[in-house]
Amino acid sequence: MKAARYFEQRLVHSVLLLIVTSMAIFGTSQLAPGSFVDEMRLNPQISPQTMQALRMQFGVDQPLPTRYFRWLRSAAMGDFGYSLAYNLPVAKLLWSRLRNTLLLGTTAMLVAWTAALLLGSWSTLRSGKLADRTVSAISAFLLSTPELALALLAILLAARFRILPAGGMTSINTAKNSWAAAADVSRHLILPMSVLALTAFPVLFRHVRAAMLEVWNSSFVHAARGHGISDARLLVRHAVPAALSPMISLFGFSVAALVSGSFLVEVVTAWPGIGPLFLEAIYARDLHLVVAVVMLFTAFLILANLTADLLLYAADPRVRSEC
Amino acid sequence: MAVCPSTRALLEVSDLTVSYNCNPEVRPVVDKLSFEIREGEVLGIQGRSGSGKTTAALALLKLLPNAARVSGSALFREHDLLKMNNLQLRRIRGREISIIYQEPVLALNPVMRIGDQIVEVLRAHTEHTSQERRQCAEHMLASVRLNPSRFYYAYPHELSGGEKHRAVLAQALACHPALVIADEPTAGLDGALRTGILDLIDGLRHECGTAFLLISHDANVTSRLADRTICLSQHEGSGKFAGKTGQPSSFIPEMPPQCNAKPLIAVRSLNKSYRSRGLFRRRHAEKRALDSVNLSLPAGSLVALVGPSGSGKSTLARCLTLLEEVDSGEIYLNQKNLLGLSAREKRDLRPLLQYVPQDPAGALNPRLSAGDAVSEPLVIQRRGTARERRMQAELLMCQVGLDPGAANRSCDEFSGGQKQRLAIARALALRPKLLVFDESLSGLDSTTEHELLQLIRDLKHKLGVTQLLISHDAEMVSAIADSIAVMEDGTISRHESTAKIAANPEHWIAEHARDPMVFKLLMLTETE
Repeated sequence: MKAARYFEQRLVHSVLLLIVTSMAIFGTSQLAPGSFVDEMRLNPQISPQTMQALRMQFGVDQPLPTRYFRWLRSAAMGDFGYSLAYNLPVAKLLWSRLRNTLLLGTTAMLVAWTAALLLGSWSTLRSGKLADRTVSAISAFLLSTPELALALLAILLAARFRILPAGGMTSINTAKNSWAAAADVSRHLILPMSVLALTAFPVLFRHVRAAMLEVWNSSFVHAARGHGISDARLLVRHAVPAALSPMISLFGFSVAALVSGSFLVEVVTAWPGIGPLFLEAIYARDLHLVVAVVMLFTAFLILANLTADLLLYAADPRVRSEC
Repeated sequence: MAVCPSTRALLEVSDLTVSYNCNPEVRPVVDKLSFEIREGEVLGIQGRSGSGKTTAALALLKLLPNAARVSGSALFREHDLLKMNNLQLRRIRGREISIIYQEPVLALNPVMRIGDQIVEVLRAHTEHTSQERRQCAEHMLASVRLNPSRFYYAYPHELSGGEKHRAVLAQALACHPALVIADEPTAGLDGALRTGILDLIDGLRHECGTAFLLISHDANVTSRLADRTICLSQHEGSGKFAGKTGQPSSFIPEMPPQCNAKPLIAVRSLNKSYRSRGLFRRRHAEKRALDSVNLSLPAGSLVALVGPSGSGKSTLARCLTLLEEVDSGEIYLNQKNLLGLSAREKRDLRPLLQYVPQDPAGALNPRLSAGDAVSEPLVIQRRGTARERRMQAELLMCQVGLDPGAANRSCDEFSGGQKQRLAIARALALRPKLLVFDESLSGLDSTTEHELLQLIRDLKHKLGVTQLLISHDAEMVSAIADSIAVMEDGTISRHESTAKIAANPEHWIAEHARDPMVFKLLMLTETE
């Protein structure tokens, strides 16, 4: 009962937070000079009269609160404003891009988490030995390598050896049947996904290893070993459940990174996700689109933390009794 | 039916030596320990903290970290435990020899149900079906007098201290081992619970004919249960490092005890409550920790503050040392009210009010060397050069009876009592006017406790520091305190000098005989 009330409360907080975020973005966007229409001044074919008319039409000349409440109404109706650059409701534009981003982010996270869990546990068992030190050194190297450098290196290798497509999501001569199309997308997916997984892996690995190592050296694992329980059983049945709590909190963050983490990789590898869309929207001063994307990032972060809290509640009996 | 200890040796340990260092000059933690246990016998191993009792027990089952060098032999039913490989050992551990760890709180997996933890042991050693294992676990819980229907599904944090001890016992006995190594099985339990556990062990031992290796620093525990007791002295096992506990008194400048009646620190109607707050609701719950407390500590005196746990002793200590904000009231240091002061002014006063925490292990950074830990307050207050601070640290270590040569050792390498000495040295570094010991002597064995009490008394005489000694054990502190304040439910119910109590004990008995704690204290002063 108490827990239900707690999560109910969290939900209310989340909605409030989203509203405050949207206000903040609207407010800060005011600090940047220029608007979508101002960009048109560079084009000599558009007359100042047309621009004035467009300003009136788009409502750019209205005061900030008016614009904000107009946007809020549109958001409530599910459109999340209107993209001036694309001439479409923002929601429509966003959903198709979000699908691509989620495809990339989810596969990358799956790969990174699997690798981190397996290698993290393995490193724990071999802690201090050569294997552990090697994996730790590799993770340290990856951690200190900028995502951009990794992406560029991957593109370079792909282009040089022609094993993988170096960018985009589909080939020009799009395949006929759906199976071939899926295979084509998968081939395109490998490169950005690997880059993303490689950048996410070291952080996850280090956290998993630290959490596992702490539990592995804890008294209760020693005690269980003293009762003659085998190492394999100790790891799976005793250590992993006890080390779950910090990993779940981290899982929350990585879910949040599903949409916002692949920004750079998408831009560099021309993956048609939210990243390139966001960048173009900023260049074009397409305010509603910018606000919607930032809101999406925030929403995912909140959602991810809520999920992590729920999972934590399910995984740790101590949290359950505290709630 | 009592099972007589048979004559056959179950475990024969000879020349067991454990060291962490290949340097022959450093004395091994356990040095040539030899003993034997017969079937069904209870052998007590007694020794003060740091004498290597636990290390010896863990060495038998090869549960020590890899860095430990173990030599000698331990024949269990004619097989040498120390020469076994991991697989052989795994079959012995839990099935033939099981171990009860010192801290049941730490030995139980926090995210696993109690029943499942017993089942895990059975699963490792028996061919039972899951149904049989379950029944077996329920039976074990019942045999340690824990109701299976309630405790099978309970998590460790839902159990009280005594119940955890029982659960750990059930886990150790699940496979009916021939020998149980019980490391301080009653540590941290008070009178009634301790007797309960000891009775239980005694009963189970007679019922199942299990031999016990009973490790304890408490002679009462070993003498009650053990058929035979061996003492681990400094000859067989030595502390984590052999620190000098004698007093190199030449270092300490003698100061006459100050006998002015002026209070150094006094508190008037101090109130403090803890409340938990929600975001939407103002107040969820309020707990009154201090309820208009009045207390004054004469300069240079040693005042003991006793009372049951939860009576607000620690809160008072933390408020006195400005570690916690009070709700209302006044704290005077040399007639100056501390509560109206700004954060900066308080910071200047903090060196004068030092706090020695309950758990020195938690309060010392294990990564620092002893010398660094002691001189850290000087670094924070920017006093002296590095060299001066170093000398000061060594001097302080001398003052509290530690070997200054050990200043380079990591804090981790000291035993419990030595860590407490380090914590005291650190508190003395800033030359405080007031030292508050918050249960600083609990959890230590009686010899160490006694030595520390002596140290505290010497500090009073030699340095003239005003001291507040908080304890739940009135008997212990009454021996050295000038006066005793009793705290109950957040208020000081009485505060009288030990001399006065001793002068008229009958009056006190008449007035406070219902309180067992005060009664105990009076019995003591009377006998003196």
